[in-house]
Order: sequence, then structure tokens, then C-alpha cells
Amino acid sequence: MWGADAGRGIGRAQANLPAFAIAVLLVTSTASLSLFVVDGAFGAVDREPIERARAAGLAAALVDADSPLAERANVLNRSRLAGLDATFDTAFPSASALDLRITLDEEVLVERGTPTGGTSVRRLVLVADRDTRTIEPALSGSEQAVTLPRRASSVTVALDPPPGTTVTTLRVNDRVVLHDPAGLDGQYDVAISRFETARLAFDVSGPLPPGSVQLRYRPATTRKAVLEVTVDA
Amino acid sequence: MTRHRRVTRATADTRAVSPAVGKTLEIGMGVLVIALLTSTLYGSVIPEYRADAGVELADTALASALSTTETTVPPPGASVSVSTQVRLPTTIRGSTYEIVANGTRLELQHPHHRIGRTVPLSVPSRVVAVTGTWRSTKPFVVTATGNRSAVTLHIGGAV
Repeated sequence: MWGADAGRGIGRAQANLPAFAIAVLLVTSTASLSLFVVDGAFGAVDREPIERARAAGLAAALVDADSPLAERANVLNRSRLAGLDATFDTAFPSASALDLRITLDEEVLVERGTPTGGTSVRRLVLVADRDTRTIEPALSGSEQAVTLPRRASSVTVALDPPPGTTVTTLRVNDRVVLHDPAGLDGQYDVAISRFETARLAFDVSGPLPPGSVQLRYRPATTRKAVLEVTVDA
Repeated sequence: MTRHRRVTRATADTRAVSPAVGKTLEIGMGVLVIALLTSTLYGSVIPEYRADAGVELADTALASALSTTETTVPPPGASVSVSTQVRLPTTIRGSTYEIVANGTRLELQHPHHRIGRTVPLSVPSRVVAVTGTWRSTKPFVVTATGNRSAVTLHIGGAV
């Protein structure tokens, strides 16, 4: 090889320079390619964990048992939802500097700033609504009793027996809750259990026509809803 | 063979230099390229990426500390004492760090100027104070003590 080289003059001695140049090019391009890949990897892990934690924390605080909205844990009181916008900043001071939006089934409850994108946390909640219902049962026969169609935590019994008839005792599920030997007359608030169906039985000296007993109670109706908290920190 | 020798002899003074020059040139360029690459990588690119990774890791650690602290708050009770422990990264960008609770905020403190952040805690109003300092060499522990109307949170390392 040394002999073959020698025959063709000085220029041949630099023959491996192109190969070296290609090697340098390869090393440089590999290095820049890996930097490009690293850049992409860093872009891909940009997850905003703090934004997520704050959205999750706020959503948890909203459905907590001692949140201003909650009736009990995970159950929101419908009548308090509309007032949330006014009380939000004092109830949740930690969230006051955030761009955020709170919606319940697409209906916006609170919006602060202009959250664009951001992180959303959704929670399935119950929305409780209470409306007053009145029934006027007709009581007759040997067992003068009525069963409340829905469970409630209290019932208002308005008694107006016809002349000559006296109501001495009211039992709820066989437990005496009202008793007056001289006769019950007027309005009575009776606490009943939310966990069992209430059966109201009257001890009466005669029949009670419609209108002489009026029962008012407030059953809770609940529906499922999705509470969504979007935070854009 | 005799012909070769004759040619070699004829130009011997100048010809022997050229491989040496070529090799020197190659070595010089090689050293230059490696030096350039190394100084670019270690001078700016790698420290930048380490800081980026540190910022992300610090965010994750602080978010984890935040949610741990928030979930430690117990439901109202006559006398409560709750403690939660979580393992957070021991080092961020090669050095230990601290999480300091001041009032209602958590602050991550790190020697590197780009890493560090303060976030407010979302806790019920019965939490009256959040105190303590945690160093990253031990597991992160949140302790809640108090009663129905006032709860104190304290962060610190496990014993």
C-alpha cells in the first residue's frame, strides 16, 4: 500500500479527509437529532400538575360536607347554587387569584377571568331540591292511618276534627309522638326519620272527613349532575 | 520495486511531510469538533434541560404535597389527630430542597434560581394555621390536630 501511494504524488496523501468530514457530519447530525428528540420529550411531559391539583382541590372543597353549597357530602342544595357567584370569593379565598370556571351540567355557576384551555376536573354530584307537598287524607274505618308517599325529615300535621270527634293520639310507625287526652287540635311539627317510610296512625273517637287532617312535608328530590371545575393558572 | 525506490528517493525531502500534515490536520479538526460539541452541550444545553426537568419535577412534587395536605384535613369532630405520609423526590436537579408552609401557602425552596414556587392551599375555614418546614431527605408527613372549630396542619419529615 505504501508503495502504491507513492506512485501518484502528494495529493493522494489527503485521501481520508472526505471520510473524516463525513464522520464529523454524522456526529453533528446525530447530536442535533437527539437534541430535537429531547426537546420533544420535554414538550410532551408539560402536564401542569399544580393547575390540576388546584382544580381537584377546589372541586373537592365544593362538594365537601362543610362547603356552603352542600347539603351533605356530594349532595348540593339547588337553592344555594344561584348564590354561589356572590359568596364564592369569601368562601374560597385561595381560588380568588385564579382564572376559573365552575359549571353544573353546562350551566355556568362562577366565572373568574377568562380561562382558555386549562385543566378541568369533573365530579358526579347529586343536586337536591325540596318542595312542599300537601295531602289531605280521608280517614275512616277501624284503622285511621295514612302512609306518607315519600320520605322526609319532618311533617306538619294540621288537625281540625269535626265537632264531637276528638283525636287523642298520633303514632308514627307505632311510636306515640303526640298525645292529649283532651283532644289534639291545631298545627304540630313532627320529626320523622328520613330512613324509613312513615305511617301515621290516629286514635280518633269517630271518622275524620277530608279536610280535617292536612299533612305537609318536604321530600327531597335529587338528580345526578356533573360539576366541572376548570382552572387556568 | 526498483522503480519505486527510485521515485521515493527522488522526492524524499518533501513527500514524507504530507501524511504528517494530513494527520495533524485531522487530529486538529477532530479535537475542535469534540471541543465545540462538548462545550455547547455542557455549557448551555444540558444545564438548561436539567433546569427544565427540575422545574417539572418540582411542580409535580409540590402538587403532590398540596393535595396530600388538603386531603389530610379531617371531617369535623370533637378531637381530631390525623397524619398522612407520602414519598416525594429526595433531590431535584441533584440537590435537596425544602417545602415551607407559611400561613395558608406552601412554598418550594431550591438553590437553583429557576426552581421554586408558591401555591395557596384550598382548605376549609376551620383550618386556622398551616405551619412547618419539610426537608427532602425524609418522607413528607402532614399532621392535623385540633377540634371541631379549629384545626392546625403541620408539615415535616417522618421520624
